[in-house]
Amino acid sequence: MTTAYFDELAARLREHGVPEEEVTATVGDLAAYAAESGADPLEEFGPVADFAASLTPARSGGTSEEDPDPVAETWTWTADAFQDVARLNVYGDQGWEVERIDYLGRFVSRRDPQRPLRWEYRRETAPPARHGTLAERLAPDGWEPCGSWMHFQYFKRPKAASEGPAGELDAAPAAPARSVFFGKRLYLFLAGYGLFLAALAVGWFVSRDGDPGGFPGGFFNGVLAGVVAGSLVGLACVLWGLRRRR
Amino acid sequence: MATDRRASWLKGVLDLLVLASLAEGENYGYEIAKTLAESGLGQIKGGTLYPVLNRLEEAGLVTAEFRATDRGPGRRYYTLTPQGRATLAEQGGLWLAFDESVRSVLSRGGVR
Repeated sequence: MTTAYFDELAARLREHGVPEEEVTATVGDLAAYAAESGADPLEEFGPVADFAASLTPARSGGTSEEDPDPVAETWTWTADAFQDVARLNVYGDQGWEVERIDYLGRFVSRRDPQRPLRWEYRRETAPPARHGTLAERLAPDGWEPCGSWMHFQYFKRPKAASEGPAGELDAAPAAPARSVFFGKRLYLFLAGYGLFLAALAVGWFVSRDGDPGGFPGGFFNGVLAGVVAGSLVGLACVLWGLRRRR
Repeated sequence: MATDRRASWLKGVLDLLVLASLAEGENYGYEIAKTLAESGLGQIKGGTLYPVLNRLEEAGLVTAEFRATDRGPGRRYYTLTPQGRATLAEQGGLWLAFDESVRSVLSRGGVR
């Protein structure tokens, strides 16, 4: 299924006139991503024909005056929570509208190739049960929900709401080459968290009393060991999840 | 299929609906979309509404004025111009005539 999907995708891209080098690189990246994430490509990317068309908006036709519904450019990307809002606003200003957040936490974005709007974004933190109330409160100012990730809810608004025609782009820049944005602050945070866990572990070993019966150090150290072990498992899960998101 | 048709119909007439929603006075984007939704036309998202408002503004059919608010980023209020009012009357009349023709044909086809 996976091989057949990517073989057909490659064939469709060639039909759209995509150069062979680009076909090989694109399909290779997508296949590697599918293999690494374990995702079903049909479920992840959709029907081959539609996906191929979305990857080749400029070559798929539809930009002429006769066709008012050109295929929009699509771009799926992710960023860590330290920089996601800033990135959203940078790329929103280049015409990228987030349509949803997928189950991997990635921003699924599109851009109208004819009259792209500039977008601005904001992120609010609220329990999922309050997301509806939050959306209602922000709606009069033109904010529309565009996805949520755990306790984060993201909102978008076209700049045309406050700037009028100036909120449209005359010419959209090329789509970014990168799709993953993890910054130094994320790695510093993870390193600090790891050091904290290491300190806890050292504290446990230093303070244990060597009681041959029962857990070394008694109840307190047993709890401490549980916290450390649980945190290490949690950190491993976070790192594994981040690796998946790449 | 039904949803696609409605979207297509709306696309052809949304500019007139926006002009009509401004006939009684100035308004801003969110309230225009809300008025249309309450009329049974479904939710008109910002990505659909603002390009239409921009085109109307560029064509001189509406004027816009940005006003700051005590809370929030401020709003852009749209007002129908005399040219917009004339266009609404003319194009709206053509739409009603088209609607009448469609109704007539559908009625002869047994649609009630």
